[in-house]
Amino acid sequence: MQKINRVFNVLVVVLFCAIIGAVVLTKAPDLVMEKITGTSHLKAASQLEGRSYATAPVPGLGKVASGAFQNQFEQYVSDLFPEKDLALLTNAALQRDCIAMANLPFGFPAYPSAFGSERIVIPSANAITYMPSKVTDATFEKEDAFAEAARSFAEEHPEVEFVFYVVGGYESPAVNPVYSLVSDPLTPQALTESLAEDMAGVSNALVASVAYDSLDSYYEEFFRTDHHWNIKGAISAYNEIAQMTGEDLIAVSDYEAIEGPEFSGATARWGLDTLSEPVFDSTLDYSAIEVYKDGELIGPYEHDTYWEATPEAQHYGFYELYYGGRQYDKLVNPSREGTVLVVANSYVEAIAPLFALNNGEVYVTREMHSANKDDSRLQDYLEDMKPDQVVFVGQPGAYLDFLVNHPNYFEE
Amino acid sequence: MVFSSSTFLLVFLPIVLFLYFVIPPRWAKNILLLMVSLVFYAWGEPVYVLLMIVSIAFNWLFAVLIHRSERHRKLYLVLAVAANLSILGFYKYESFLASIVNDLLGAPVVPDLSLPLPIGISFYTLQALSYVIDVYRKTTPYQRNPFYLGMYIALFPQLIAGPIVRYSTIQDQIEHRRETLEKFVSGFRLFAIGLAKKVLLANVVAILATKMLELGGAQIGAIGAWAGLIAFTFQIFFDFSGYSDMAIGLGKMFGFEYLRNFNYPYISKSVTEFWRRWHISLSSFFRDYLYIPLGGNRVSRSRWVFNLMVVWFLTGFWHGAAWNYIFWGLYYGAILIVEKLWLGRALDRLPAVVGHLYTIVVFLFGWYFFWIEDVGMLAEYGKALLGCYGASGTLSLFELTAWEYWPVFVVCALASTPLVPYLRFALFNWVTQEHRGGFLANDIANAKYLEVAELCNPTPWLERAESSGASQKRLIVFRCVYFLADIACLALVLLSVFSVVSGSFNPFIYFRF
Repeated sequence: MQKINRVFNVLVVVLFCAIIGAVVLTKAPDLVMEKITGTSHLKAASQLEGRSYATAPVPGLGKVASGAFQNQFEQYVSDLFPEKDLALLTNAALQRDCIAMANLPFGFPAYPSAFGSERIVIPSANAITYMPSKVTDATFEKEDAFAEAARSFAEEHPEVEFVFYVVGGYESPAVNPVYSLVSDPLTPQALTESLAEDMAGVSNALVASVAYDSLDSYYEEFFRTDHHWNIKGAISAYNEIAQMTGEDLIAVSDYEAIEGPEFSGATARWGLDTLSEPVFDSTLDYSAIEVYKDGELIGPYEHDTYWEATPEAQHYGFYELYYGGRQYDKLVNPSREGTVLVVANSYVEAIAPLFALNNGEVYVTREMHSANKDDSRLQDYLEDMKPDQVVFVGQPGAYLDFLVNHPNYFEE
Repeated sequence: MVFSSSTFLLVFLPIVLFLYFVIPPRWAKNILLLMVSLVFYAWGEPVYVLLMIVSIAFNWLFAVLIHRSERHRKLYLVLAVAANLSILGFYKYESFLASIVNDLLGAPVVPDLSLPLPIGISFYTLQALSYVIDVYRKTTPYQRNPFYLGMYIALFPQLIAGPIVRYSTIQDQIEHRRETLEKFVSGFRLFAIGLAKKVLLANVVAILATKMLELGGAQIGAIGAWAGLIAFTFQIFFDFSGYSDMAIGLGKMFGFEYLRNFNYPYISKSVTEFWRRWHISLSSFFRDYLYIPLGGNRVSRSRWVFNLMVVWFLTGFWHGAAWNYIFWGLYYGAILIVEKLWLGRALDRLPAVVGHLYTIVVFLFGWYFFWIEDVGMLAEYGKALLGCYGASGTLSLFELTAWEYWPVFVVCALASTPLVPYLRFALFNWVTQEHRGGFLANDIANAKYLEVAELCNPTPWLERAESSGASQKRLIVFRCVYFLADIACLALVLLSVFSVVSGSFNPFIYFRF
């Protein structure tokens, strides 16, 4: 019995040391290899977390005394853990299973992807989305401020047509099964109606949105694992705008599957869910479109960034890499006329080429993105680009925060 | 540095274990432990580590003086106690006392320094005090080697959140402890269980508790308020007892035998019993160094009441420099007096379930006072508990998110009971083919059973079973079950590490103690 005891104990000690020694045992040989080869063989970034891993912090008296060094070292060590993505996903999956079990007696149609998470899993749709935003006292004050500034600007520039497209997306009641379970939710419809009311009487200002009346119709045009629209959703939005402005509609009869790994979008990644979905594109011919960045022609409209990426990057970053990988700021279609400025956030990546099919020049700025904060002015763009049309594209939150991030945007 | 951090689990601990076991001489192991303990402390308190070194130095010096001088030994004791309490008082209570004095005088007479509290100061000050007092009482010899005393005071396993280890407990172990494979594995088991309690239970329920407190009573209503309070009740137990388990387990890995600090307090049938099971090292410190010197219960009734209230006032005040902690201490003092005078006897005559329910209600409200420092928030939360804001306040049931946690509450409730020791006891009965009764009386509830030698160690059980003539097959089954439990412990460590590297919510609630 003593022998058995000893064998079991040794085995346990070895396994315990393997767990707590995982970082030291992987980093120490890598340090040696790094000395010899000059490069580290450890993973330098996580596609799942969408960031580069922390590098070894340099200690300094001030940094140590303030605790900054210790915090950076903690992150560095966490990032060194082998198969860290697996650790994150396992941790969240356990919590999600627990919440799913907790939900059994309640039968809520969706539930958070982990404890404290703002992302919710919809089992019936095999999708993951966001908790609805809430209306606060500031919500319509912000909307009023935006509408007032935009309206004044539009009135001052009758030669330009202004379109405000509100992306319905996950915030629509019909497509978010917990809408009725949340107090004071914000709906894009309410925002669209309020914007339309505020713009009423301004002949060169239009407000548009596509409403979805069911989960099925929504997920036909939007990703199940990402907040963005797929190409069908982008075409629907474009056609809605085109119909209002009298442009040609885009008709698509066929879509084709994109070879490669399935897509696990930003909502799934941030919710630490492993859900994924197949991806497809339209058969539209973009061959006439030229892509410009910082004033230079960088080639035809292609998806080379996506095709050159690793399978893991393709898996997690389909939308960003396939549509927005080249981060262009201008599309040119020599066979068409007209100039459009699209002011948007990441939703622009799929819709801008559609504008380019019907316009000679399409300028793209990304001021609707919450991370972009600057003193840009629309007046400057009008003078530089001379657009016939300015199209804003963003979800309700992007409109509400627009003037917070760009306080001088509508100033003359 | 805290145990539930990547730096500790994945860098500090493996390196320290490696160095400790490759260095052969005892003195070198002790010096290593002192050095790494100072690094451990300096990681979180780069400046205040000097304060701890000063504390170690003067406590060593006063103990030497007390030992060597027969004439002035009392003076040296008074100076040592005064020095320890002055440091603690200055860093922990200056701001609180200044605000009281300034409020009373209506002018800022005493400057409010608002000093950050040195982590663990309340714990290592009590350890140092117990040492000099025991040397004075001649119940323990003084330590000649200042580095060894430093190792005792600063030893990283118990440094930040206890248990309060008395010098007398480990005095022999400093130079004569034995590290064995068996002890190491027992320590690993305790460490794994403690880590899982802290990371997988306390940290998870803390998400709910923190959210409910932040939202406030009016938004969360009765359901949210009760869920938040229950969550905090589990958070504080699993956080604190988990930390103690990890400390005891780490101590075992290095060959030390600490006394256990928690003994399933939530199964108590009275508040008296609760305090025999909760933070035992603190209760016994106040009993031996304050309550008994004040006269204990061998005095008049009024003096006894006074003694108890002094002890509980200081117990509350030790936990934090705020009125709610003082009130919390006095609340327990008053209840214990009532229990000892008449309620305890009444409870004894009633079915056990009544005692359990009564104790649960008392400690739930105790945690309510303990948890919420702000008086305004306390009142609002109290109204929510009483249903003044409806079932779920201004939020919907779904938004409250309290419903997500019921399976966690079930696990927490089970983990608060001696279910695992009971299963082991049942297995042992099966192995030996005997039917011993009195499981609770013999193993768990008896406060005398504080030694941890048998905790998480199958060997004494196996030896007892072998000597009782159990069959070899059943003995192997017993050992295999333990091995499966070890695999479960390894899984708990792995999942805890997963959670820690994920950067999950990881509050540390003992910074103020």
